[in-house]
Amino acid sequence: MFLSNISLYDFRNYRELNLPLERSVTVLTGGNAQGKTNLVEAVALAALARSPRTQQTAELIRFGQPQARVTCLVQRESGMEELDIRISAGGRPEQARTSKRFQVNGRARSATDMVGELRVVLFWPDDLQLIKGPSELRRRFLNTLLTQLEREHARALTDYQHLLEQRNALLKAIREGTQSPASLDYWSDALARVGAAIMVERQRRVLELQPLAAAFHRELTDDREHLELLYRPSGARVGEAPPDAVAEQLRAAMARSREEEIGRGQTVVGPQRDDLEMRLDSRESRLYASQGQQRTAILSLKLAELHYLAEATGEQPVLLLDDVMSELDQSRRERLLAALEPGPQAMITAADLHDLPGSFLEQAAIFQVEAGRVHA
Amino acid sequence: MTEVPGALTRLMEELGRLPGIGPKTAQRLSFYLLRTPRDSVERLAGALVELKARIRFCEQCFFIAEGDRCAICLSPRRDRSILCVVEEPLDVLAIERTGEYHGVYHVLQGAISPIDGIGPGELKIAELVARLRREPVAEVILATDPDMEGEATASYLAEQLEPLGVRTSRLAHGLPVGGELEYADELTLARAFSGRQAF
Ligand SMILES: Nc1ncnc2c1ncn2[C@@H]1O[C@H](COP(=O)(O)OP(=O)(O)OP(=O)(O)O)[C@@H](O)[C@H]1O
Ligand SMILES: [Mg+2]
Ligand SMILES: [Zn+2]
Repeated sequence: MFLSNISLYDFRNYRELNLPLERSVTVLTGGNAQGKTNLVEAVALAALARSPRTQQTAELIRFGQPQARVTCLVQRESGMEELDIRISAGGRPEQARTSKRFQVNGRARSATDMVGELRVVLFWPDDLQLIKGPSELRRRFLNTLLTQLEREHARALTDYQHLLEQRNALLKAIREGTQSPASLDYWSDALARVGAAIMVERQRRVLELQPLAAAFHRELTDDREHLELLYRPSGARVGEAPPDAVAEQLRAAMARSREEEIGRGQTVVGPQRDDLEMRLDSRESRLYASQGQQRTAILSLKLAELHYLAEATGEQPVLLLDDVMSELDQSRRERLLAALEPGPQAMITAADLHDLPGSFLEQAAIFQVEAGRVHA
Repeated sequence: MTEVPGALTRLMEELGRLPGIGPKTAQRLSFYLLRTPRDSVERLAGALVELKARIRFCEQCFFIAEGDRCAICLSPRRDRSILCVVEEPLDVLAIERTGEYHGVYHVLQGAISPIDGIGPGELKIAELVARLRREPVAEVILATDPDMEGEATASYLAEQLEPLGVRTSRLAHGLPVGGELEYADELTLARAFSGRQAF
């Protein structure tokens, strides 16, 4: 699988762009605020059906314009696919709902059915918070990987989010006395069923990802450190339990927390509270790892993600490296670049080309990004 | 900026309140009506007024009716031992189009949806229970939409109806999940009826 072309209309600071891409490495360079990250964001949007940068879709439309469009051409063994995303601004402020429309080869798709047509691994400065930052970042890491592997998972997450909003609305209404708890059990039940499916999948995938991450980490630390990934589900012990048993545990956990849940107007157990723990030599790295150790562990995790996605799908994902080169030291940079040979298609941004070794640049297609335009 | 006359702004605002009509469409419709001959605009206005004057909800099943009761409740040919529970009047029309169903209906006027502030109390559920106590119904078909709100509503109803000792079944899921009944095609809907399962 590779991305052979990307075109943008009124996306972020791009008025119009049509950029053919090489199968190998593309380097995007240029000063600050010129549009390097915006371009990477557009590719991620086409892959994930959502921007990894913002929830506010309206931000993606070029200032003052009614509509933005991103079109990607994906070449795969089975033929070529055109992925098309149109984002339209809502009308008046009170209806300010931007809409996203997706098409694959000219046929409409839902967001969930779009994910997986183009697969990416994104590594950018935000990821450097993966260990010390809030657990939401680690759940997002899992979601991004898992939804690209299995469309069912994307569907389950969407359903779960919807059920969670309904159940939380009911909990608040019960607290405020505007609704009776009569229908709470039905929402708990549905939530537990979908939640259990998500948790079982997370457990399975983390177990498969773990040996890859450990191996990369051993290599990066010259055998000195052992990295371990542990899935930490909320409200249930997953292990090898079947989905029904996990759902039962979640139901029981909700029943136990009933008072707390009503008091807070919020569901306090379930996949929305899960975490992914990373341990270095059996110590929780969130608490103990140094800056350098964190960076190495995160790099190991990202390399594992890249390889796992390729292994599990039989297709190389596109690697998007935004600005991370300047964040890594010489030796980690070299390790990362070594992973690209013979490797996947990659888009790498760097404000400063000196962050990349000369030998590497010789083989890459280099583009200058300047005020929303791209030239060789 | 040029002022738009009040009468036109008001019409655009009113049209813009309708479901599925955004500001652009409201504008286009308003200017279209401005160009339309007077008598056809008056026919439209008359139809709107008559709608509210003549049509109401059936006091028994909450489907649309011209009098106290709807045509279905009044019809001597319907089988009163079987009752189909739906969310909206439009669902009744969709089921009627299949020609497969000859029982009567009960329209809940919505589905349980806490986000929209709709709980069991906001629906015609108490009326349904009272009706089942009163009338000799042998089977209730729960034909709420196959989405999350419809499922929650059906589960809730199944439990409420259990003590009444009436047989309940759920419309078989040939229906697209997450879909809405009113958009299901006739064949799918007909199959869903014949394949319904005990709840
Ligand atoms: N909707 C939008 N319309 C127009 N311009 C926008 C929009 N959203 C963002 N921009 C502008 O795009 C510019 C480039 O952003 P981008 O993040 O791509 O920069 P960059 O080239 O990655 O810079 P850096 O090297 O600092 O990371 C910013 O100046 C920002 O103001
Ligand atoms: Mg940037
Ligand atoms: Zn009636």
